[in-house]
Amino acid sequence: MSAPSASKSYPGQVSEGLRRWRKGKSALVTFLCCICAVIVVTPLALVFGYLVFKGAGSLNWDFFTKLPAPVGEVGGGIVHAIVGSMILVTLAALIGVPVGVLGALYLTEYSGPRFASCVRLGADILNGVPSIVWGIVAYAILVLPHGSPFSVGHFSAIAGAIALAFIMIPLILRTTEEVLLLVPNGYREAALALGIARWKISARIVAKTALRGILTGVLLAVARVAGETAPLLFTALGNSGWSQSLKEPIAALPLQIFTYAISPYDDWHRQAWAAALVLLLFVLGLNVSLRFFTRERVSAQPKADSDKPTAADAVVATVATRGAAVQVQ
Amino acid sequence: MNDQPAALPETSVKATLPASAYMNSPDRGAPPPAASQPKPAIDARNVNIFYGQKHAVIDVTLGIPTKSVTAIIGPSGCGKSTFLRCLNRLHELIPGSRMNGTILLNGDDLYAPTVDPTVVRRRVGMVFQKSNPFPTMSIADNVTVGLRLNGVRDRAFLRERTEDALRKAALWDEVKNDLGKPGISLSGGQQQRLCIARAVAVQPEVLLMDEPTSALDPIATVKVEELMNELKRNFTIVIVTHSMQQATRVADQTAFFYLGRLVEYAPTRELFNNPKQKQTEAYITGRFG
Amino acid sequence: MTTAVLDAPAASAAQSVAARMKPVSRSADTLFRWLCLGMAVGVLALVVLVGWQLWSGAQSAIHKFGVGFLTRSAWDPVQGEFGALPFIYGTLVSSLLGLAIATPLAVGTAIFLTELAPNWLRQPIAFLTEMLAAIPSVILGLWAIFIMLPLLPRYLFPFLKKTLGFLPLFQGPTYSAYSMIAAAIIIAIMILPIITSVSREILRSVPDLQREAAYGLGATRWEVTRIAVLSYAKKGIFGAMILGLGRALGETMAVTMVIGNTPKIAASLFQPGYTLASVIANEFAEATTDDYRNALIAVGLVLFGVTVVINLLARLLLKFGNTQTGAVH
Repeated sequence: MSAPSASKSYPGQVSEGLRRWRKGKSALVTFLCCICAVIVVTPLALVFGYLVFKGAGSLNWDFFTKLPAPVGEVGGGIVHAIVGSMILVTLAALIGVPVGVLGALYLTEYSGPRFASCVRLGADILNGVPSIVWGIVAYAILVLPHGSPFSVGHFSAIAGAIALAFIMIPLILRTTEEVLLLVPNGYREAALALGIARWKISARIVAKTALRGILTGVLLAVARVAGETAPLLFTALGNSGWSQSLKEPIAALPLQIFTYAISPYDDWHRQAWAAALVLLLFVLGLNVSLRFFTRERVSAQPKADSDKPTAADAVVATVATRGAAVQVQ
Repeated sequence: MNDQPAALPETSVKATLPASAYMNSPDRGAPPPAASQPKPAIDARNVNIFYGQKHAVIDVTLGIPTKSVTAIIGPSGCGKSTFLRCLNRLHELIPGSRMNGTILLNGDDLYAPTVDPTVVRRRVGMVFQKSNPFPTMSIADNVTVGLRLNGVRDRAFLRERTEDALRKAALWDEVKNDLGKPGISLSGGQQQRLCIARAVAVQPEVLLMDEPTSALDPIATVKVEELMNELKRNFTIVIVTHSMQQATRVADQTAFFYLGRLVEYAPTRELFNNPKQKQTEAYITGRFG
Repeated sequence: MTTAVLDAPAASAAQSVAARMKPVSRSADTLFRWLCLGMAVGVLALVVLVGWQLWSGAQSAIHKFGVGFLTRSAWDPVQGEFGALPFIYGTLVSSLLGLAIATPLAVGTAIFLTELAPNWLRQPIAFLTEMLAAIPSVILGLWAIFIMLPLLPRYLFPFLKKTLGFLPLFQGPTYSAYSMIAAAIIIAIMILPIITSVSREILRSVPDLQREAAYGLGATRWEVTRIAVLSYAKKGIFGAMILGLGRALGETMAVTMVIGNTPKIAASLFQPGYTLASVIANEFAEATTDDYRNALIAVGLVLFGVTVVINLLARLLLKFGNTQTGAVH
């Protein structure tokens, strides 16, 4: 290309210098963008690296099986917080999953387009609500004495679980809706033509076809609320020991990390790192394994169109951006 | 309409109609379909279908003889698919669709106000353009899904129906050792025959086929066409096809739709060899469409 | 039975099939439909519930303090003085600064991922940015307290003072690492993933035809990106920024852990501050008087209102940004 330009000039020809400058600029921008990408992924590496570095040494049998030692003493564990988190997340899922999944089924299987977009807008608004605000709402309903007919009157596991459920509902609704929309209409028509009742088509054919995607969405939502701290601060409150009932304050892993992190005790800091490592391994582990699990299944399917976004892609994108990426397509 | 969803063709002869009822509208001048088929399975009278403002099917009167293959041909957008879908009330899924007129299935009004569309669809099965076996189900489960989700639990009976339906769909010998494999692991032609087996398993009175071979290769197409010849011993078949050759190969009588109207309806040989209408002639000689 | 069915004509098989099917029942269908509808309506009800709970909870504070609540800068619960201005200021400054840090990095990464990076690198990096979004806020806060904060007064603050010290923003004492800048950095890390992934979606939605046309004119890679892609995706990327801003405003835990939690308005970014979300997180559980709690709920109402508006704005930008550029002549 450069050889003829040296021998003969023609209209519209660009000079060698300009061409080189343009190429150089392009290379520079490529380099800068590459640096950006490196900077963006660095925090993940740093956080993960430090957690392993500072937390792994404290992971031992006691840590997973014992209650905290009295303030000032060294040792003890956080079994109550791990169990507490499990209880809170399970309760939240028990409330959030049916609402989210059935609501999404209504949108894709029954609703008209206007109502559907109305609910979708509502869910998107809810997805944008800061998680701390959900804490206030759960507090007003369940903690504040006489706040509502359902009020427990004090901090409780129920209030914490409800706050987490509020976060899960719009998230699960949106991800489930996404995957239900990916179920081809041909299946619905084929089932209808067999004289199968609509509700059975929804539950046993459409939802079942999308089951993997729905489950992925649910588990990603679980991973997200498992790490939520803000909505638990004044609902579940935290607890330094076991709680006897769901109407009592309950410990949770993120709350424990927060309490330990801002405390003045070195041993608590050490445990905060360890607890954070446990939580991060759970959250990232769930994210990573869901990713790889769904990928593998998709590629194993015959005739899968690799260009088309898979159900898993849709779900991950929706969760990662809390419903926002959906409008982009 | 009685409570039993699938009234039998044999037992509902009581509603035998006068011959004129299933004849084409006299102004079209078409003769009644083959005289050897006296019993109309489907009797559509003055059917109009609208999608919002669009008048998709205009005043169609058509009698479909029992246990035969009836083809509906016409250029795309002529309303043939819409008409087919109104025979099992599947067009109702499209928002804004309206229908007026009468359609009798072996004497029962499919659009009577008390009739649940689900009941209609149990009696009128359908096979679609694109094969669509349920991806989460095995071959056997695909065949029996219409029974299982309609409350049939008896395992032995389900096994019988599986074999019977797969035999009727000429698929049994190919899959009898793989019944537990996923339905979508089959080839395209096999998948379509699996869909036919699925529709056949619930023993409908009528089997609708919406361009069932348009996504298949020629060999698979031949198999499905042969199958139709077998199936018509037990079922009344209505097929929409864009291929006139296919109509001549499989259909006993053929209806030609154009711009939402039924232009001509006659025994297939007659329609293709000796069309009465100018439009029909133009279409079959390839001058439009 | 077997022989009977196989030998018998189809008619009797049909009879036995029909007889074995359950009669069609509308009630199950109706029940399921209403159940699903209830759940979908529940999502809308949740929107109303949040708004109403915050509104009614904030009523007395609104009555007592009026508009002055938003404009007064004194926050002294003991004296019964409640002015939310320091929190509004802190939230805005930390979020905007975080956005300013995150946007170039995120857009650069998005460009790298869609236009410049070799194919094998795209998926892994996109995956890592999504994993960054999965890190729970409290863990990032823990990491920030113990790893990031000690580095700031040693390296970053002197550097900023030296280079940008002529601005009032970068003057004053730098002894405390708990500062607006620390909060902004943390916020930047937290909103990087969403801006990256939404920008990436936007860039990916630019038709390849555009790129090919520019390449056909002999443009370099960067010129193609700038002319054909970025000019096309401008609005969408702005939408992604606004979405990131919405997320930034509501970030709670990590910000609370590093911002210093001082309800003062200071010109210097080296000084600690306070945000709407972190004052709720810190003080809500201890708000003993009704006035105090209602004032905090009013803070929550402000936070809720602002995030809803911002999210709706982002939604509009993403939606219309795309359809308008999509219809470009």
